[in-house]
Amino acid sequence: MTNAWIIARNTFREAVRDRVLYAILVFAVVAIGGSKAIGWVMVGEDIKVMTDIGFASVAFFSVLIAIFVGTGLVHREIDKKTLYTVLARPVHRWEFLVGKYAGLMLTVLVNMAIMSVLFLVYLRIMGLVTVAGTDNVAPPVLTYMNLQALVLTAAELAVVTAIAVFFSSASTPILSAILTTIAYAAGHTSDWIMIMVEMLRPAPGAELTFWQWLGQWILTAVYYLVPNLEIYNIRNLAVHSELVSVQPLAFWHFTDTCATAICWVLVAMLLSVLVFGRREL
Amino acid sequence: MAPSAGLARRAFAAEAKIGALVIGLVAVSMLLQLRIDQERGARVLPMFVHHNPGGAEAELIKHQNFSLYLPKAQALRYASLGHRNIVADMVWLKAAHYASKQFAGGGRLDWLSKMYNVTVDLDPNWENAYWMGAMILASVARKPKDAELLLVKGMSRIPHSYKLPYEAGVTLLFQRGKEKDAAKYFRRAALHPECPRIVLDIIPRLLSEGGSLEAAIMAAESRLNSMPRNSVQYKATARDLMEFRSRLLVKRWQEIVEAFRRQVGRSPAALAEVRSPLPRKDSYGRDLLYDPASAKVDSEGLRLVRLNEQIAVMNAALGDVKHRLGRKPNGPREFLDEIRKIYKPRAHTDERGNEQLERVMGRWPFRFPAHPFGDHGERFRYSREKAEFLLRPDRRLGALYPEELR
Repeated sequence: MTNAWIIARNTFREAVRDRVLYAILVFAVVAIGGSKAIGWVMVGEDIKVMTDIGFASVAFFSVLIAIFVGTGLVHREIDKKTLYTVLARPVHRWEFLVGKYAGLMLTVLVNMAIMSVLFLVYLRIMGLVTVAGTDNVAPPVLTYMNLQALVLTAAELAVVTAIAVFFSSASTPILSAILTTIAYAAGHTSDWIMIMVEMLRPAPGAELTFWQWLGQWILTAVYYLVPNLEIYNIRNLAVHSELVSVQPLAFWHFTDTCATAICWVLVAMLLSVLVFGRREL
Repeated sequence: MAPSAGLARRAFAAEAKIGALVIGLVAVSMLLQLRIDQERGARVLPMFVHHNPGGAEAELIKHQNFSLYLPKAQALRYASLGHRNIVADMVWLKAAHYASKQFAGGGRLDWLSKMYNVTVDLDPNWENAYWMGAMILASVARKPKDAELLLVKGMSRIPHSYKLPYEAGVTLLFQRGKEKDAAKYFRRAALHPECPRIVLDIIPRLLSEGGSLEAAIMAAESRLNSMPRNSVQYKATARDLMEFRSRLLVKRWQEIVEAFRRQVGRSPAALAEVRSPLPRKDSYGRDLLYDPASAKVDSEGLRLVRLNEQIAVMNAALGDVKHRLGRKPNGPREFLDEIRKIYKPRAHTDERGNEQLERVMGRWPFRFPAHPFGDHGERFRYSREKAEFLLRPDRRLGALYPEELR
């Protein structure tokens, strides 16, 4: 694991030097800061809009980093032929992949942490500005639910990064980026598959036909084979955490969700190791 | 000619052909797009009108009003890839733009309800979207039924909100005239532990306006128990409570008179003729009034309350007249002449043949009293010096309430 850690550190260092990363970070900061402009138009709803945009920016730009940096991760090493010098040493291919993944995750998490801190501080300042001169109290920003939302966003990023590394280990950067984006979109729309399963349910009184049964079976299988990224998305709820009806996730629900993320990361990484191990370099 | 030059020319010719083909294809697609936009412009996206403001599409949209394509919330939910709150914000913004544009142009607001529904379906916990959406639907778009449906949707999703049932009560009471249903929502709002004091204070009055006097009395009594005895709110609520009790007493006596008439076949000559354990004095300690000709029951105290309300409206209108004339009116005649210029006559007169006047402020009518210079034999005195309508001292509200409530 020492080898993996060294590779992770170097991957992180390499990513930090990448100008694309800074460009994305600047975009995120501008989006979070600029959210006030939309807030002005939404009379009385500025804090809500700023929270929406803040959470969305943290998630969206982190995913962009994961996809655009992650998909070129392995290919760049092959392209520059640096992979051969690494693998010529006593380093296993799986160690290389794990190191690359860990390095990228570290990059994504550091960026996410920077964006989150900026977002929460900005939200706090704007909250204080909004209530200045009134008897109202600025809404708290560091709530349990907001933290849960950010942790689960990190869990989602872990899964997306693992998928990016998997595709990166098997194909070209452009194709990897496209496939990872498709996987990301599928992950956020997979609830729709279960709606299709419901649509295949026979009308009341009618019998289930073989084709309906088969269709339901296949769709259900597809649903469970696609990582459902919506389960990590409580950002839309966290915005309304002041409501009594909006409660943070129960402890077991939260840990189950995190455990699911770990499972999907392991699946993606094992498949990556399998594919990368067989790859002709 | 050198062979290389021939090759270069052929290569250039091939590239030119490809270039021409590309340009041709782009031109064809532009033409097709133009044709598609003409079709879409009228019913899908009004933005195409900007290219041709005087064109047929613009005219069509002017008549059809601001129309647009808005997908279902479910489709938008999936398309948003987890960022549905952002999409909800955008639809909300679009709705605000649509409402203001249509309202300013006098257009219809047919899409507004759908826009608000899409917004709240995308962000079901956005309490203010239901609340403000319903307010705009009820008061600006004049669609109180849609407003009620939006609020009912909100109440099912945010059961702990006091704002939504309160707004539903206001909409039902003032826009749809459904007093009993409104009272049901007001009670629901009042039960909420976080319902602010100002809303709680106003709920008994709204309940009574809605005809739920028993509920209004209960709400006012419960408010009184939680107020400091010498506070302004306590006095106001206690006065309201006296009025509600008197109104309930009059209502009960009216029912008894009706029952007497059904049983005996005629109206009672006086209330003394009717046997009832109900008190014969109102909560102000004043006598109940009975008119045998119309068989209507009233109360001395309630009459005074109404007279005082009436004179308050008169004096408020006096301010308008002074502003219009630039001086105090010389007398009631001049006041009334000026008032007729400010206030719009309504289409009908009341049951006593008095002309009903109302002032239209925006879309909210402000009703002028039916009997401008007094009622029930009372006459208001106009004081030129004070520029104020006055009641006799013994007819003022101060005379009606006990010392601690004045």
